[in-house]
Amino acid sequence: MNQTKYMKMSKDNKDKKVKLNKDSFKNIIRFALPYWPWFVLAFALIICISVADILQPLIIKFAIDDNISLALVNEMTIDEATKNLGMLALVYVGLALIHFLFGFVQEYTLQKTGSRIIMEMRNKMFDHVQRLPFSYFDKTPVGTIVTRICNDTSAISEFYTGVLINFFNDIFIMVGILITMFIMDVRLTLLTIAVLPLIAFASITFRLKARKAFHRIRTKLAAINAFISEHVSGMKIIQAFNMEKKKDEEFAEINNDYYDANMSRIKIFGIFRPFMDVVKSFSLALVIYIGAKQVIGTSLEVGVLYLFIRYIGNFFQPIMNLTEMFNTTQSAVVAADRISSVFDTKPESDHEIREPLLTPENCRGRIEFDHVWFAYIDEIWVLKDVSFTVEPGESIAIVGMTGAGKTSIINLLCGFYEIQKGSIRIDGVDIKDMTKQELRHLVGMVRQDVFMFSGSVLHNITLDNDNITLEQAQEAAIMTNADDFIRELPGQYDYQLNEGGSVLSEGQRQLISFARAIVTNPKILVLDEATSNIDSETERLIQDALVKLMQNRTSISIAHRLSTIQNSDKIIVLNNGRIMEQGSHDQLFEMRGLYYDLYRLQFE
Amino acid sequence: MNGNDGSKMKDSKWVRDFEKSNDKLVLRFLKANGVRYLFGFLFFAAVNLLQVVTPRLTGDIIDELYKQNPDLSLIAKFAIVIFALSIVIMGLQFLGRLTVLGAGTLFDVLMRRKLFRKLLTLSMNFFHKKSIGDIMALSVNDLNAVNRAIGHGAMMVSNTIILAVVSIVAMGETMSYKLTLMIFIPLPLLVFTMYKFGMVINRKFRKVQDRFGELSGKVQENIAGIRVVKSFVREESEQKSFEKVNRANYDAEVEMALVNGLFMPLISFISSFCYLILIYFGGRSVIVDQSISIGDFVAATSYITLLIRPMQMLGRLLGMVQRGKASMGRIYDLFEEKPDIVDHKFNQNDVDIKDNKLKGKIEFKKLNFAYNEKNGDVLKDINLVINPGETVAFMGTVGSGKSTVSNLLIRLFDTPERGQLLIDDMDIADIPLKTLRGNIGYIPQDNFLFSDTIRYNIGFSPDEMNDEQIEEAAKTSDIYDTIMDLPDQWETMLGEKGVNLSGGQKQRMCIARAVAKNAPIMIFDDCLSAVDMETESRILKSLKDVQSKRTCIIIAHRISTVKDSDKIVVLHKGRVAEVGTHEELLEKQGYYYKSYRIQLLEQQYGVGLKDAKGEKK
Repeated sequence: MNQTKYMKMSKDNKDKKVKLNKDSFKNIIRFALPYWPWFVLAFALIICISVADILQPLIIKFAIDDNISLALVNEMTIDEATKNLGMLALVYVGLALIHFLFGFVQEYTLQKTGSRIIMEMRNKMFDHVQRLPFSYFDKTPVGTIVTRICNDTSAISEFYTGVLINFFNDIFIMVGILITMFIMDVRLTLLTIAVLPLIAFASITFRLKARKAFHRIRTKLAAINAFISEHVSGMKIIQAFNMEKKKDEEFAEINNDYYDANMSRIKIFGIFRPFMDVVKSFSLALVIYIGAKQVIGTSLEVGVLYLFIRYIGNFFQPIMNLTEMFNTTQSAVVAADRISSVFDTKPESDHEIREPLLTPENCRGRIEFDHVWFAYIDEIWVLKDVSFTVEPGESIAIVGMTGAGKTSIINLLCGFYEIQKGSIRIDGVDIKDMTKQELRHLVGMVRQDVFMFSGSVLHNITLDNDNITLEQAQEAAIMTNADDFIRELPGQYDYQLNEGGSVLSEGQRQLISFARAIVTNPKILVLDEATSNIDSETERLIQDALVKLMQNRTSISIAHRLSTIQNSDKIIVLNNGRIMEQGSHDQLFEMRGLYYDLYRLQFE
Repeated sequence: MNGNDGSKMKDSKWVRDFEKSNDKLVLRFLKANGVRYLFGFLFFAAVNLLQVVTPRLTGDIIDELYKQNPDLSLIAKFAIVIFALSIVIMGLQFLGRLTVLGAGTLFDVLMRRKLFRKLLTLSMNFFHKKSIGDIMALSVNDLNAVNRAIGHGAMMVSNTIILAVVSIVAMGETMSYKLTLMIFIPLPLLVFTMYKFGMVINRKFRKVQDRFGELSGKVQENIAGIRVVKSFVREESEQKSFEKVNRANYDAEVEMALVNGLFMPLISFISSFCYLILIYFGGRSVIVDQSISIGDFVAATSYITLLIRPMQMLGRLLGMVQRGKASMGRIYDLFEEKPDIVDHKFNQNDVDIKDNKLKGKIEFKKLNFAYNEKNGDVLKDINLVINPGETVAFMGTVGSGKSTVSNLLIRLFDTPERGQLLIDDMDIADIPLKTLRGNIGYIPQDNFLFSDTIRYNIGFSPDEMNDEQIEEAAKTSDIYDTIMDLPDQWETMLGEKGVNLSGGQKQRMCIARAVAKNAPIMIFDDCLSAVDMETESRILKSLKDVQSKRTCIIIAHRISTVKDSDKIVVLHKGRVAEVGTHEELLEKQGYYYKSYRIQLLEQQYGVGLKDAKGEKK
């Protein structure tokens, strides 16, 4: 019955030993604190319900002892007894009504509050994740982050709705029944409690067994998941090596393991539940016998005996519930642990929000790299002492071989990573003194791998920026030669792209990404040219668009096209993280250095 | 519990039939397991019958107490019977659960096996359009839903039906059917409410699931595109649009909470009317006409409790069955997928291949190929003959169509009537897939290895391979010493659970795997890129012997890898731009010559692979 939950968990949880971390538990409570009035309300309601539940069997006891019994021995007139019975029946339904109304409000309040907390937790997490540095995304798989934000929070929600209040409820019911029983008859109560150690022992044993069984199921399921996921990725190899049959047999083996694990769980549960009934029946038989003896000795009313028979059933349920809550709590704590680890990751270093020093309007677009040293990891320098200046409106092209550090330069200019030494300045302002947002507003970027969001074409150009009108988006698309093919799509700018935008060709997606970069009219443009294979017609459109893109802007491009180089004012030749040569095409060509060689080989 | 119980199951005849069929699977399963379900049904029937006895006995005890001289020993006997019954019930309950829930689990295990078997037959096109996540969801969530419907669902159905009949009859016998019917007047209302509610809850539940799907889809996309989001400072609008789907998810959950919160309390409320009728009319019957005893009255309260529980389950049952049905639909969708790449049966007999061995002649005849039409042809008008034993290298930029050549040769894709690809002068589509692939030693670009032992990975073959063959292959691929240096040598586990090899080591492992196959055709799909030049030349040297006996297709970027080939083919935008030997192509001063010069330059400036690592982030 908790299976789906376990399935969900198993993906990440695998075999990690579960530690009950106090701090994580505190975290769970911390998220709920602002909502304490709602929890108090739910608690108050649940107390009322419990009282009503405890009272219901009492009504029937009164019916038996104070009316039916009395009427039978003619100590009460039939009319009076009937009248009383009618009253009691109505009170019974009245109590049921209270249960119904309060029960509904309680359940609804609790669920709603739980959902509310989770919604806010997710909002906070999403917001936090948005501000995490690139290095975090470099090392954390997408799926993991999705699990953190979506699934782990759900596990905590189950704690709020299933444990937090019900824990007190169950305790309350137990205590309530116990008190009522004590008031009714001390001896029978003690008899009933006599089996408690047995129940506790059975529950704990069962929990341990069940936990082991669940753990085994989780492990086997994780093995199945890992197997399927690995073999779907490696299907090409399996088929190329004619290994279908063997793989089928291998899978059957771990699949059978999973079957065995499931069967042993069924067995454990199949014994436990009925066993609790046996204990209950034992207690019942005991109470009936001793109770009957007392009734015969006239020290006990029959109704009280009835009451005990009913209570025994109600008394055992909370105990079983309590042991089950342990599991939910555990999952919640694990989830909270993971969530905390996300919140503990430091966001991109940022300044307080203040009036920006530079805006796209007042920025002139002068870029300086001043003795920049940069490494992704420790001291493996990717850029070494790089210095250059780009004047407003200038276009520069960066050329160099693979691994020379070209992409790093534009990553740094956008503030995706922090440099270790030196400084990068725009219009004389060190980018360290700007907020990331401020910096990135100044720079338009075209990446090598074009990412398309699911949504309309328009959405992919404006990226949901409300300040951009349809006209502006169209203008940008016209400028980048994207307008023509967009107009041929059904629905044109409203045409819905599915994930990855796979209906568009590579070249078309690049054109859209150009439009996306210039629609906000940034003063600085950085461009990482894609090298993919594009048909000559689209290639012509791209080259034409590139020229227009660079007009009236400071631009830095990682050039793979001859045309891009030809349109640049200055060329920087990068090798092994150092600038080898810089200057105009003619100057560099005359130097007969690395550029000369590269140029002749790549572009001639 | 010990050993593989599951494996015993698959030997029976119906399991084999079940594994072959693709339709009406649930029905087939239920039919084949009819006896099993019948037993389960009987177990539960017995449990329920016995469960009714306890309230009856309790009632009798109470009646006894109202007698003039109650017999305590009789009461003691009854008490013992109550206890003894519970033990019998425990046994029967256990057997019932084991048979019926076990059936669900058995169905689950059989279906998952079928599912995986189906996956093994499907072609690359399928795996390109379906994400791993979707496939996993089928195997975990959907099968689980079906399992629950067919196991728990069946258990609940039998419990509900039997218990309803038994308790109504029992009550009717002790009191009068008139009173019994009166007491159960609210029940039809209960069932009706539950039915209606069940449907609403299901609808709401599906809505919650959909919204949750949208939520995780949104996060998924945002994280995948986070670099764009950040570059364009769209964090705020992303936050807003996330909050919107998050809110929608919340709203759906609240709606769900509303019906959910109403459901259980409403059920108890309606059932409380049963007690109302019992207290008033039952109580009156006891005192006015004394048609029932006080013990009957007490027993009746227990009957009501007994009956209402399974009734409450009905709502859940409905949802379970519906969910199971929807999931089964998705599973059927997968079963209906047809693999694109199949053996053409009518041709199979025409082809006579001795001992299933190919000689290794490959011929491209005016071959054109496109993965999908909008991106245009990846290969255009390729004409080329490769003779048995020849080594031919393909070079070209990214997207020039090099890897497509290897994809076509192992027939991961078909070439539909736009030119021909011939092997040993037969159309590749006419060669049985098993034979074709059995004759090709393929080394993939992504150096994919399985998380298993090294021995398993190199001896990766449907036929048993002996240790010498594996060792020989490892030596040829220059990975032998590396393996010997590992503490567990051949038994070393690779991948997640074991050691992580470097890219170069993995590539050599993949080469060994293909070499061990001893096939007449070898395809090296850009598989030497991550080893340094020295190792490369060592591998190439030791492969020389292997190469001279086999047809080798080498796809590569590096001149050093291809320069000794009999023929070098330069592809450019899908066309053959240059063909010839190393010397011939250098003379041509075309693409090949340029690559040669660039690579010389790279060596000269010392930009090798070692330095490239930093930026590969």
